[in-house]
Amino acid sequence: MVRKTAFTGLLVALALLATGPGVLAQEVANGPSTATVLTMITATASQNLNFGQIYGGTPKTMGYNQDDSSAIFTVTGQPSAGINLELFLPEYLSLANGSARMPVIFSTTDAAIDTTTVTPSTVGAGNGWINRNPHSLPAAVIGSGGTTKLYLGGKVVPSVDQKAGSYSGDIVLSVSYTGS
Amino acid sequence: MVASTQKLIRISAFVALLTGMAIPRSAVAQDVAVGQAEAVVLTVVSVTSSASLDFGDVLQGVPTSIANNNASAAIFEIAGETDAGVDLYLLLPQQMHLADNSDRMPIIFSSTDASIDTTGAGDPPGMAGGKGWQNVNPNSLPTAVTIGSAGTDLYLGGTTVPSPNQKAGAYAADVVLTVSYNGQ
Repeated sequence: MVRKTAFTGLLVALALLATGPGVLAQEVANGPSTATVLTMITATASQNLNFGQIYGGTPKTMGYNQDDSSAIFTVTGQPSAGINLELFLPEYLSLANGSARMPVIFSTTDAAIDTTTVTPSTVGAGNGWINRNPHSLPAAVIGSGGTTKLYLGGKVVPSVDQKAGSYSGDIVLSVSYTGS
Repeated sequence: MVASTQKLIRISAFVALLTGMAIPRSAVAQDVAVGQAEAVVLTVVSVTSSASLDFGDVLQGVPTSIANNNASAAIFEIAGETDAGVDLYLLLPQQMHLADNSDRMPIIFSSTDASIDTTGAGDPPGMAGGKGWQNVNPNSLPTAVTIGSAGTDLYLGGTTVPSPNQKAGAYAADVVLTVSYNGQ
């Protein structure tokens, strides 16, 4: 009987010990945890860089300010968010069957970044960045309207005996948020 | 022990919440677009003199004319990209010479001594107005010429004016045609 009473008392004591700290030795505070999910960033090739008809032996230049012929890439995303732009530019344009290729050159002023989405022919310094190096584009932002455009020109250099036909080469634009 | 367990559960839930919130952001922070640069290289333009302007036998003191639609008219054949615009320029002689240059004979090209045939027929007698430009000035050729699907030909006539004491012999001179694409 004594042992039973003692055991019972022990259990009670243990129970008290288990509940005691919960009542006297802890506290709970709630603080907010927040995060903002940005609008998804997208890049689209809206228009190809089109040199048109080329004559053998005669180089042809197309500026980034040609409404119908400049390359146009459209980037959409979170307004005013910082973005990185990187272009992967071809060194040659090739015939579809690969039987001939023609050098293509991009100068240090062949690109413009337009955050106000005007047009290639009207973009100025106040609309973003002009006369920029497409091999090393500046850190940019998504325009306040949620769109930024990249305009690109270049130059083809056909040889005197350049094989006739339609030439093309891929231009790849990679865009990403900077977090700023 | 119950409190510790509760605290552990709260911490675990908080971590799970943060983890769950981070995943969507990294999935939409980058994109790639592929465009193209493109160009069409035209067929090389070429020009060939396929027939000389042949006055044949001429008599001293008697001018001799060959019309641009005569079988003896000069023929220049132009080949290249079909429908491409070309500029044509003729460099015409003022005199023909003996091979040893011991005498020379005037040659004249009138304002109607050339025709441009966009059918590429190579047939001066068969030339008609509907085939291109007929009886035009070889010193100022038309500017809207294009290359026909079978090529374009230029026919040229002229007049030689031998003097009464013109030295006998075979006279010749160069007629030069320059052709270039004009981007039209």
